[in-house]
Amino acid sequence: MTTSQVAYVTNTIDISDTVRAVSVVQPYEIYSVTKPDTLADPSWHPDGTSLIFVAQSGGNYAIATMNIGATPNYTEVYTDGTTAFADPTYSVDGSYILFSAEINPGEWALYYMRADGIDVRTILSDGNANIHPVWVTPSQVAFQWWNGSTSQISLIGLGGQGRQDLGEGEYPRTVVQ
Amino acid sequence: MSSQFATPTGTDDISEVVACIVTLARTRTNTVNISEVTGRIAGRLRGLANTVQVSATTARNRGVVRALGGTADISERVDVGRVELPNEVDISNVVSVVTDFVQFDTWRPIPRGDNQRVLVCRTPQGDHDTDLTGLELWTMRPDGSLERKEIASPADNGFGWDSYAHPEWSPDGEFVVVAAETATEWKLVLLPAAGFGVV
Repeated sequence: MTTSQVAYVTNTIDISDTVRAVSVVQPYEIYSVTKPDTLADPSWHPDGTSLIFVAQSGGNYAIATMNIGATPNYTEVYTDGTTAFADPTYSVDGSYILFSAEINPGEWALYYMRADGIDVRTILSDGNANIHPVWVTPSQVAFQWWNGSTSQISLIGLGGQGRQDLGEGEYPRTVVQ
Repeated sequence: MSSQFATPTGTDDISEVVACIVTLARTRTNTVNISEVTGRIAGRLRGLANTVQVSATTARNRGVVRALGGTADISERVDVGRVELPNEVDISNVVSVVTDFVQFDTWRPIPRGDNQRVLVCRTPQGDHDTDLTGLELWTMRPDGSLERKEIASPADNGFGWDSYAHPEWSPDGEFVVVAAETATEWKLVLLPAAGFGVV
């Protein structure tokens, strides 16, 4: 598998919406909760058969999965009580889950664990708001953090080693070809 | 295995705005609308259409319009000019008049599995990812061309949502999942996406 970099135009000015077509689609609801419970940050298992997301109920957060099919099945993969989680995402082979957690107000750390919620390991906990982690390789992730004035993008190994600060940016995504 | 990733620059700083975008209208007219024409984009126009509607709100842009061989008739807010460009695409009918600008923040690019389209979030300028009530989902080619609005804002998409967020392509590109909020619930919702990006 090889990859290549893609750059995007990020700020655009649009005009004449009236001449555009908007796709007509019918949403398909697969799971819901009643407020004040919440669901957030869904992403796909690499085999496309289930979703992983963050569920919050009564102030307790969990990383949970829901299979997509005739018999939906909600499963909590990981919870520790009150810590807020965000952006859970499977590794390419589905064996691991990468996520961020708010360990103190405004302080987000990066973690990964086995797909069954076992063996949670810290990648980065440095007092910053480290968010939106994505897998770059099986042993390296990219993430966004705030340096006090702008959002920055960095790479780091799963063991916290080999950090590379790449400069200003947001919402890093891996492009696999 | 080697890997790289895509990261856009920040979108909050207007000074970083890439101040123009070329879009093929989704009508049969093949009209090309251009906003905030700059020299950077001018070269792209010639490959897209021979007749375009150009809006220009600054002296610089009006200058570009004239440099392209057109005229920029100035009105109070939006200046509209028509530019005849070398004929590379057969344009038989041109409609569309620029009526106003709507400026967006564009963020969170999500490449589809085949990398042929990128899903992006758009919100009214300044809202960025902090106010999602005006969120729209768009697709575009990785080079930024051929933009297409796929899902309108909650007020216009008819789904009964107050907001939605965090779109992700399914591995096969057939669906996009979002978390959607109504007055009483949060939902995980699949949007059929096989037609997303189809011109």
